[in-house]
Amino acid sequence: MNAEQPKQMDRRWVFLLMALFVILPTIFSVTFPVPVSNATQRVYDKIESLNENDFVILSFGYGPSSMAELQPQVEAVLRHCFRKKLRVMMMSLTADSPALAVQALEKVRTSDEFMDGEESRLKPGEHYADVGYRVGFHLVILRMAGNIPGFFETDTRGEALDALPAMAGVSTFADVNLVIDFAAGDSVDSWIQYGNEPHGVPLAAGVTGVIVSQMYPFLDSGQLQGLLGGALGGAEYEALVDAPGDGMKRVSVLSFAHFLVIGLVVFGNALYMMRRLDERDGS
Amino acid sequence: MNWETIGVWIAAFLTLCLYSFLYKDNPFYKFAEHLFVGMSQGYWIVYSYFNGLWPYGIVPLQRATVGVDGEPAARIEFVVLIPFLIGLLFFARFWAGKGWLTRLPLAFLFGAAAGIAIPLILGSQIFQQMYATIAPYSKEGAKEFWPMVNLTIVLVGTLAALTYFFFSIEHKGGVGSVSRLGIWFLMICFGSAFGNTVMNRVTLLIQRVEFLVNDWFTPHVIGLFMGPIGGG
Repeated sequence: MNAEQPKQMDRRWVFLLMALFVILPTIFSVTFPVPVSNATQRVYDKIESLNENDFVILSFGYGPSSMAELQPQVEAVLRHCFRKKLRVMMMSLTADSPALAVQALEKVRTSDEFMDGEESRLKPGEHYADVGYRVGFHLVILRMAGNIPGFFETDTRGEALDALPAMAGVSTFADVNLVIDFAAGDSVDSWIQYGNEPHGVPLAAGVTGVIVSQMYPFLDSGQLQGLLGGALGGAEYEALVDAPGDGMKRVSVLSFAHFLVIGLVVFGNALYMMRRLDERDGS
Repeated sequence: MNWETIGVWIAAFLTLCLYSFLYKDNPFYKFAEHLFVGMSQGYWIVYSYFNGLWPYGIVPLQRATVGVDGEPAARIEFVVLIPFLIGLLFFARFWAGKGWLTRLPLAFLFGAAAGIAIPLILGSQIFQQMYATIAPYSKEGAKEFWPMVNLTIVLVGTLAALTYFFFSIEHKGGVGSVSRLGIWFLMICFGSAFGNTVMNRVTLLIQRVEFLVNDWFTPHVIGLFMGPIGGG
């Protein structure tokens, strides 16, 4: 055993501690109030400023590995759009998004708020259109700019888009009142480059915690009208629309986990300083 | 036991298999990892075929040549063949001596992508950002104290970070000081990114724990011994 070994900690203790700090608050359903940030408030205010029947595109660019953060954002934003009686078109830029888009949509449209007896008041084709996945990523944005129904042709049910009430009067990007891109990768950049820059499409984004830092410059420059960041963004939006859900639950558990991470960072630095002092005393 | 219950048990088993790696590498982890890789590839291939190659490759080709759904092609549209043939050239690398043909579609892709992207990237990532860093000083809001402080921090941070990446002058004296300030701004940026990444990773864990506790353990494992929970 060398002199450094007593100050080494088996990392599995960290994993065990993290598991306890996540499992216990999950079992006991601890929740904290969530103050709303300016970036999230701006998304809410933008949707609030839209009029009934305005047209909003929700673009999906994430898969199951990011649904923990982004699904609560999508559900809260969808709920807000439907409350405001906006028309929504859902599209997917990645192949693993469509199922998640449908999952979020079904959860919102079959929630008590939108149910009328046994049926949802929100009808496909009338209140929303789901056009599913199209291959090509930024090429999709380029192609749809000039003729949205002409590019997608049909929704996922096979109905012609230009015959749907949800798409009435929608032809080009000029007819789109807001695009909200939910992303775990580069799709926000693509929307900024190929939608916002050449066509001036009003754009907001909901992104994972990993990429939220690199999105803030676009928020400050006005290229993004608002920004939802990670689980916190979802929780904040749930608080704004007064519909507590997975986001608020997760962010409360997250507080415990962050408390542990901060404690471990302090503990690790204390060990490091002690080792430095030992080395200095030994030399 | 219905299909949904079977799905929950499979998902719980695979989740636990993957998390078992945190203790140490083991055959259960390897099994789940390989299964995930294989299924992901299978999903992507099938999805890409039916959403990419079929609607944008095969169907236009059929429409242009033999017709679809019993309707003959109105006229032969040779223009549809061009992208199809360019794409086929990617497979030239499988024939000895013909590999150079792959350069043609690659050259087309690079040329088209660069031509489309470069002006738009310059506009959206450089000019708009430069404008946003400087222009607010000329606006009315800039006369307020705190917005002015914010703007100045952004401007100083931008210039200091750019100085750090300017390697044509030795970083000594005044340039060295500004460069060191740039490092501080970069470190704060990395710290913010690290904090948000921690939030991301822990949220994934929370969602899996929610699934294990609320969707699997409580209704199915406890329910197995104590009867269905929730009056079901």
